Amino acid sequence: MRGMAALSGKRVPNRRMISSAAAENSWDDWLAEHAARFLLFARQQTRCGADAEDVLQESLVETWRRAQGRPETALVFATIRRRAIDLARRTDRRALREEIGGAPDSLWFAPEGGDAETTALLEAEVRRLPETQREVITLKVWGGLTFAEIATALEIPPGTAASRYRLALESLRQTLTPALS
Amino acid sequence: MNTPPSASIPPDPLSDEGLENRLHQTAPAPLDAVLMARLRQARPVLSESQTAAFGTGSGPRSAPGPVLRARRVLIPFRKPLAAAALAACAWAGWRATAPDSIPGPAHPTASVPENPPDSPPGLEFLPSQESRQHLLSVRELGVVRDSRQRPVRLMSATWLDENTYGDSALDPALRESRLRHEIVPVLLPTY
Repeated sequence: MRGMAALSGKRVPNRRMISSAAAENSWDDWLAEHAARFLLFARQQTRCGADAEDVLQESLVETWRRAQGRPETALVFATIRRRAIDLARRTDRRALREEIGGAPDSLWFAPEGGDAETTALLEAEVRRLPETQREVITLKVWGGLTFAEIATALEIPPGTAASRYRLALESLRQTLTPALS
Repeated sequence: MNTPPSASIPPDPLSDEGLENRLHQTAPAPLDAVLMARLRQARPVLSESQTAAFGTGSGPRSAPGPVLRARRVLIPFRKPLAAAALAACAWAGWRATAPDSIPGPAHPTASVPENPPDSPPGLEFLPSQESRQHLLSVRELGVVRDSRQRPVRLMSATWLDENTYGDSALDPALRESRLRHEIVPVLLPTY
């Protein structure tokens, strides 16, 4: 086969080249497919947009390297959460941001064309949820995880994850019903 | 009858399904181009054995890399390797405790010295010239059974040990005598 390729003058990529290209494409495809939901969770777990981006990059690289390829989604969320906790312990950027007086520096959700106002209201209500409920509903709705996977990512029992999700839904129902009905 | 105006009627609460559908319609904000470019640049470089996993197929485990092939080669030899490792560990442990655990004589004896060792100081540094053992008495203690239920006769023997030390050319000879009791097990033949 290689001899025939040499005779015909065509360059046949070897297995290593194919593997490297496949890995690169897989990384890019994975980012295009999931990076937005990972970033949403990272923004909720950190204190500012810069921290979220740092935690996101660190977590994606770490999980990809550990899994030698596309990792489990729940593992990525769990890593984001741990790295955000580590970062919060190392730095105290919240105090710095509050001194600066910064408002939320990034939007969590994509503004919809005809209903940007509702999206902004929904984001505001999600931000007001308790953190324990907010991270569960984020992983369930926008992360696409099951309660078992949420339990693994957040290191809580599955029943606790389900009850927090119900509480979050009930809270959002009360606040969003006037706007969405 | 006055009916309340419709504006004061509270709206029907959303059902769980309706609320979830509404939430699912909201998409996370996309990454800006700068962050996406930064993440693409941060693509981890895997080693050759790791990138080989992406050669064909849909997942990282679809194509076995060199590491997996090495494991397959070693699998048939895992039991002999484990046995060899176990033997090596046992031998090393035996070597570490050998000076304390090796019994002296081939036959198990229980030597009970009559007197504690009270050799004059410095005696052990003199060269030994002569050593003699005199059997003074032998007495039968009884018959017992060993761990394999074979009859063993226990004999009590009393010895007199005479040791002579010293360099005959320079120092006068020193003589030491000790009484030593010994219990000797004798395996009885069974027919």
